[in-house]
Amino acid sequence: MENTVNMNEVDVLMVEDSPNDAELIARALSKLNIANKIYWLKDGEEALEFIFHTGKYAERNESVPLKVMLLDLKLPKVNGLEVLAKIKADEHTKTIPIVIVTSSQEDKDLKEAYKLGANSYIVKPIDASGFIKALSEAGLYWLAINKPPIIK
Amino acid sequence: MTIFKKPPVKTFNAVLIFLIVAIFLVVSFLCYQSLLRIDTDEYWEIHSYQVQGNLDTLISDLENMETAQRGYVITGEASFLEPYNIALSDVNKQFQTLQALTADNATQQQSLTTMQPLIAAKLADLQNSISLRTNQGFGVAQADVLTGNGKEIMDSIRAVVANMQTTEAGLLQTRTNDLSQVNTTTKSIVLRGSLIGLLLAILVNYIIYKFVIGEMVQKPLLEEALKANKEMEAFSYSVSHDLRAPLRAIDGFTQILVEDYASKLDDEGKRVAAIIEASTVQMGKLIDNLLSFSRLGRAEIKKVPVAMGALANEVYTEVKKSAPEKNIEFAMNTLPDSEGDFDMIRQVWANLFTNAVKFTSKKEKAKIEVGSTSDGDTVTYYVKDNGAGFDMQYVGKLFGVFQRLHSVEEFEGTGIGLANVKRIVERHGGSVRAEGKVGEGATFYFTLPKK
Repeated sequence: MENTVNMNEVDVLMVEDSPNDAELIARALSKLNIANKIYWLKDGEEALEFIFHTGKYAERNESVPLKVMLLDLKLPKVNGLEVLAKIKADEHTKTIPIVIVTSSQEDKDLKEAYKLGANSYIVKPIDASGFIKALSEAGLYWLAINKPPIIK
Repeated sequence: MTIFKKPPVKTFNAVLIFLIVAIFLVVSFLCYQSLLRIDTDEYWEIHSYQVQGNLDTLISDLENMETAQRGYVITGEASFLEPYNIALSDVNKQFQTLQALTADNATQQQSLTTMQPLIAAKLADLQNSISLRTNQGFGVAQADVLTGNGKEIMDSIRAVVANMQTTEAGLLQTRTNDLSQVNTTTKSIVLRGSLIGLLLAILVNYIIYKFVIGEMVQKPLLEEALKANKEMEAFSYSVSHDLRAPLRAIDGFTQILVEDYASKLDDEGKRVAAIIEASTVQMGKLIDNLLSFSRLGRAEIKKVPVAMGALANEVYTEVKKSAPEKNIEFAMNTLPDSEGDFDMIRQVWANLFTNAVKFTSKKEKAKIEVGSTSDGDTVTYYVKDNGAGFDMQYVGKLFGVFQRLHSVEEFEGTGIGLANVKRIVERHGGSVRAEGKVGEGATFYFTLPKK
């Protein structure tokens, strides 16, 4: 799966190390038939660079605010909870809606994520049908129903 | 972990050991002091006896001289004067010794000062009497003795000596009393000190055994258990995360295949895709069951009173809902209440009823019976059905993880239910067993300790 979306016009930022899961999520969201541009990042380091306009994303100059960030917890380099903590600790980025999408249903992960300011927590259903259904419903809520704050 | 750190015990122990050492030091010091005092007292006791002895000798010397003088006056025989001369040389010696011995005592010195001129007078009187007899004969000497001068002086000396004896006897009494007092005190100190020291030593020993050695033995075991538990947790976490992801991909992409390429798949292709999907669902269940089984082994048991009859009824009703079309004759005998983790005991009943309902599904007249027997301090509960049953030669495999005696096609399931039952019951201190006959049914028993 390749990023075809302009990095300055992203609606949904998906941070997911599994290309299979990323593709299934992208498919679930694309079937919603609502305007959404998904941008896929594979690890926590890239996610932080994207959000804070550093490294590869130093030149990024977004024209539309992020509607939602889908964040996996088990990520290479910088894990999801660290990414969450850094974004929620910064005055300029703390209002970005972040939805945790993970296989972990461990109580300590749930508590920690909410403590750090996660806006929602979705445990990936084990079966693909359930998974696609859950992501479609979440996508509908965050992209069509929920109203994100204007960032800047 | 707080179990490993017990500074209060260690500090307490150190204080106790310090106390023991201090007690023995004090006892030793007091004993030494007492011994010194006994030594001094004994010295003074002997001293008093010496003074008394010297006083006796002094008097006896003077008496001997008087006797000799009288003998000589009467007889004029010089041989009578022999004891006189011996005693004369001794009198001064005795007096000087007394002066030295009582140098520390003002009263006795005073008495000796009084006595000194009296002795001198006595000696002069005796000498005078002897000279009169030698030079002027018996009559003059007799007249001198008869004046009573000599006797008067002797009586005065006796009075002074008696006085000194009384004083010395008083001192002796005081010293003897003191000695016995010191003796008693010493005995008491040694006895009590040793006793307290001994008790404290026993206490320290007990504490060392109970906490320090106990800790040394328990610590590695506990650490190992904690480590194993941690590893198990990490394993479960990784199983839940890592095994599920590829499984979801298999399932998801098979679905994409079926949805997006339906026109290109013939019936056989669709059948194969369906098998892949069904298998992933099955494997998902296996992973979930394995996780729940491992969680069951680690979960804390929260014991509460359990109304077994009401619980079994409620669980059966719920299980029966999954097969509403089946006609089952359900017989429920009175069950004694028990004690255990409510959710776990509930799971035991749920697994046993699910099995009973499942394995009677092919019978026209299904029967399930619940009951109990009581024996000593355990209660045995049972669930009996007239379902498919099993061959008793495989009874050992029945409670194993993922062990199944029927194919999935015959009866669906993963083979975790009875393994969970066994694990729960054993963690509650009970046991499980089963009886069965192929085609006739099975009975599953589990015991729980009476509350």
